[in-house]
Amino acid sequence: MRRWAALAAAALMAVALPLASAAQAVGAGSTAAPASVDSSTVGTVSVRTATTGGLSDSGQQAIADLRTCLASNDVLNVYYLVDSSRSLAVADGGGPGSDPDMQRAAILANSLEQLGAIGNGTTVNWAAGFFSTDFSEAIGWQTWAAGGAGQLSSAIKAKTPSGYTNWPAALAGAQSQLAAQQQTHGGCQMLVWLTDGLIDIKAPDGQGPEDRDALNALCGAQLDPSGASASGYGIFNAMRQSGVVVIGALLATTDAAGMAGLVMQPLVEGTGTVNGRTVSCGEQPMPTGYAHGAFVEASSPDALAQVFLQLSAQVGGGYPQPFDADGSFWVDQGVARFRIVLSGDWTLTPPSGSGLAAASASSGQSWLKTTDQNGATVIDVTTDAASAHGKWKLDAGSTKSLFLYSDLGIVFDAKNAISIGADGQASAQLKAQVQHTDGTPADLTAFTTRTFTARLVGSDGTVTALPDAQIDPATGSISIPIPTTVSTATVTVEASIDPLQTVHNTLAPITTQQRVATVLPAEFPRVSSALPVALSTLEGRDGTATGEITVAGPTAGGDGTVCIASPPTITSDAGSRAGDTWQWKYENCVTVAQGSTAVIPISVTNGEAADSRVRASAPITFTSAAGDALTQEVPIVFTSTRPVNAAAVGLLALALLLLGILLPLVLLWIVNWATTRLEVDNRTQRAAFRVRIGPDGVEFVDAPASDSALSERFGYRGAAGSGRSIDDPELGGIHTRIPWFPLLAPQYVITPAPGTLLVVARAGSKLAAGGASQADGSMRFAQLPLGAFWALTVSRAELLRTRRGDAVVGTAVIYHRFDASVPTQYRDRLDDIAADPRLTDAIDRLRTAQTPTGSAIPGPAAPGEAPPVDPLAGVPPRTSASGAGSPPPRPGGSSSAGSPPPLPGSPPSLPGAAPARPSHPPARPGAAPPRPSASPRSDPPPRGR
Amino acid sequence: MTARQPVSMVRGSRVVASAMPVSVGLGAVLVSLGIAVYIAVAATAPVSFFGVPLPLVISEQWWLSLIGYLLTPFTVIACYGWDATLQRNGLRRNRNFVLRPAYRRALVWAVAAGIVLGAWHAINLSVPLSELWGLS
Repeated sequence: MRRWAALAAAALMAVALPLASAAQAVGAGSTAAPASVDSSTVGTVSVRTATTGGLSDSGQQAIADLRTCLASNDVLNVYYLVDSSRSLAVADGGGPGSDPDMQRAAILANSLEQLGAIGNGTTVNWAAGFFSTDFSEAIGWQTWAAGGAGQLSSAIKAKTPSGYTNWPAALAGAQSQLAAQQQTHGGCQMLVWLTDGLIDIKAPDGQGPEDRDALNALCGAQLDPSGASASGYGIFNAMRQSGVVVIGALLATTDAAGMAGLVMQPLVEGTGTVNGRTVSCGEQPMPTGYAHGAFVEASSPDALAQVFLQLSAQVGGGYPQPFDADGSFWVDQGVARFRIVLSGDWTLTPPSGSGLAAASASSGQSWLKTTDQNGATVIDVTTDAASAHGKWKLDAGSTKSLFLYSDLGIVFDAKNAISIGADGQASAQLKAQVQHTDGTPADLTAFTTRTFTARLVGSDGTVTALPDAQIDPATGSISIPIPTTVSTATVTVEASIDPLQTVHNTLAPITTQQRVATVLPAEFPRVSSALPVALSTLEGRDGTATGEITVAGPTAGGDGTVCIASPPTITSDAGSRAGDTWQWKYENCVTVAQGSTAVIPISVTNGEAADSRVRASAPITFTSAAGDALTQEVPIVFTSTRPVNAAAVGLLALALLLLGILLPLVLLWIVNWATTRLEVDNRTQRAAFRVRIGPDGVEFVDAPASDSALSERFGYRGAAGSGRSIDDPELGGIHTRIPWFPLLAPQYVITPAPGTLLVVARAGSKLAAGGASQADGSMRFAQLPLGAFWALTVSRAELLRTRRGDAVVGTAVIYHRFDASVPTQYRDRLDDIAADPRLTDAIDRLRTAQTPTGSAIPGPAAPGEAPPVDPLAGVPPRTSASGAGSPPPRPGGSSSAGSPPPLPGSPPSLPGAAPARPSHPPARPGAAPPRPSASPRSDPPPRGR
Repeated sequence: MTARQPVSMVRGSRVVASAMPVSVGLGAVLVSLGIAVYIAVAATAPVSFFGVPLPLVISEQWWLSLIGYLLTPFTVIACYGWDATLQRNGLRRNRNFVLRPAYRRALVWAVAAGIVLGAWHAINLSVPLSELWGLS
């Protein structure tokens, strides 16, 4: 069997043949065209509900790409990326999952079995990995051998489904695996990606923002309008660029899972329709040379096996052909064989006059070969003989597929080469032959249509048609003249017959490539390295890709010179990095002695890291001893990666975020601490007065009657007190309080002196200027301007001595900022206190708070019990500020008990009571209160107390 | 009076809280948001982060993320403190000082938005930093 024929049966075919089972869901009969697709709408997303047995144009092209590659390459690297998420076993919300019986194990294992059976010198390397919440390697790379399929099956069965469906992690892992394998064992590449539902990276179940962002990133475009904009072209584009044929298989057992197909198709194939919107992923239109992808979808494991079976038949060179309504189909000259995939009973009737007896499921015949696997039947019939030509008929159920094979291939002459003359002109006539699988030349005259084309494929994907290429239909001989302008060290020539049609049928196109080296004249040195020149991996922004270009000296005419004329040009880079970001280092020129070799080290760096397979072209000038020069483009290839230590990056990001939050908060706390002070400047004054508070108002017991005398009671505090705390002998302590959380406002706290209670404190004349009482008896202020602050305290004993309605004796402490422009400033401050309507209520509340029951205030003295003592007893009655008379004094009072001591430097308390202040006090002289030293009125008073 | 309140405005006879902190804070959020959008649109390369390809800033444009990081949350939180201090001190120095609680509320929202933006800038910044420090 010819090598290409076996290869044609490889790839995706291997993904199928033995898988044949069931096939109940696949589109009825015909596979010539994509199966019908029913559309319905679930929510806002159109969902396909039918299983698609056919392929889109991109899917067909993917098969062609693989067949073309396998026709000219003897290595196939295939990676199985298998979904192991929980939904395979258990559906969301309960019930069985999409494949609870793990039929996928047999499906994929059988496909591997077929791949491994390619034979004819083709090496099949395979590996497998699972993905759910994360990607995990399951089976490392190995060359296929008997038992490999069982190993894959066992691994799948041993993997308990769990976790989510993390597509990005899965694809990144598979891409990495394929890239690593390609470095050591280059060849055709295929990724079989099996999943059972839409991307769902993490909890909670269902689509989240991270899923939508990831979809767009995978696509390289706005696949999901609600997701973040993508950057770059996405991982699928990178794989297409690297030549990886991606087979995306969706096992969609529910409508919800079927939604995945809407996004999988554009991801895998590059274009698709989502909600009536055409979506393109990656570079579109797709550059020439990129590998296409194929998306397939099935609604059950059996249907999935059927889909794989159809796919593999096409990769194997089969072309889907519809049955007639009665199950008949034509086989004519040019059709070498056909394959039928079906389920259930069947009867196959050869053409009348063929002399062949009908075959059936129960009655086999020698002219056919049947294979039963997992409930599906595969029928292979060779139709080389003329007797087999005619109208066949199949009687079977609705699930049946027909594939026709030409078993033709194009084989290039291994001796093809392109000679470059001393004048730099290329000269070559490449030879190729269309052959049958047994190697005999093919007669194409039987085909009614056999369009032959040839082209040059550049390393950057550019295509140059070769219109002078010819084929002899009678002998299948191909002649391809090469243009004289070819200047690259190697060229890739592609020959194709497309379409290929017989009278009744269309057959699969035939395409083959050959890489041909150009040969310089003997007087010139030449590149002896394998082409393209492979550099090491460029890892990260600090990495360097290094390599060597080995050149061989002339074989005649003396020594030669090899020079890299200019920095290499990047011809392909999925990272889309600008050309000036690449920094090349190399030795410009080397002299190569005749018959010897030399090495040109070359390296490249780029400050911008990206995951990409990079291709470049270096213009190298070869000079002979006679001085003649020829320039060739030498291809260079290397892999670029952007390694990221996710843990380090995550920790660093967390540290930066915490720093970004905590540092300003710390600074803010420091600002709070530094700016929150008790602003006592050299104009701040203080006074304390004995007061009697009764139902009729406030009476200042010891306040002088005259304004001048009153001013003497206000002493200066001095600016030295501009700190964070003040110890006031009557009031207690005043200090600032800075909360640990700096966004909370700092506070000013007044803590009453021991034995006293704080009745009222106000930072102004307004009631709203009052502080908030605390359970411990202190009072807190958001603002505490001491220029207009006063407080009233009473002793606990006095409070307990009295009862509601009694006059209470206390102390009024006043802080004041001297203002020379207000003559009545001191009297005004007393009026502020006298005018406060809530003092009595405040005292009552405080008294209630001090007695647990609120009624523990001593009542009238019992017989024989000493009555309560009025601390101001004996003090002459005074007129209250309200003008009403004071309550009669209690007997037995002391005249001096509880009287506050004078402040240092403050004038002594007057023994007389302050007279009731008229509502309109007489104008005062306007002079400032007496100061320790004379100074202009507008100047701050001197410091002192 | 105005000489003692350099950052406040006088309206008639009243001194009102300055709008400068809230203006600067909201401006910082807007500029930071603009930087984030610009990076997402024009200066990113995909980086696989715990399996998720994130469009993070390219190494050459790391300084954009640094500016964004300094604007949010640094500057915004600082503006919050600035406003709080100004209003507190204004009231302390002038009993007739007019507070503007709306400024503080606006800045609280700005701080919240700034923390979110800052997280994104921090992630962007952490990749080139990790590369710079040899952690990747």
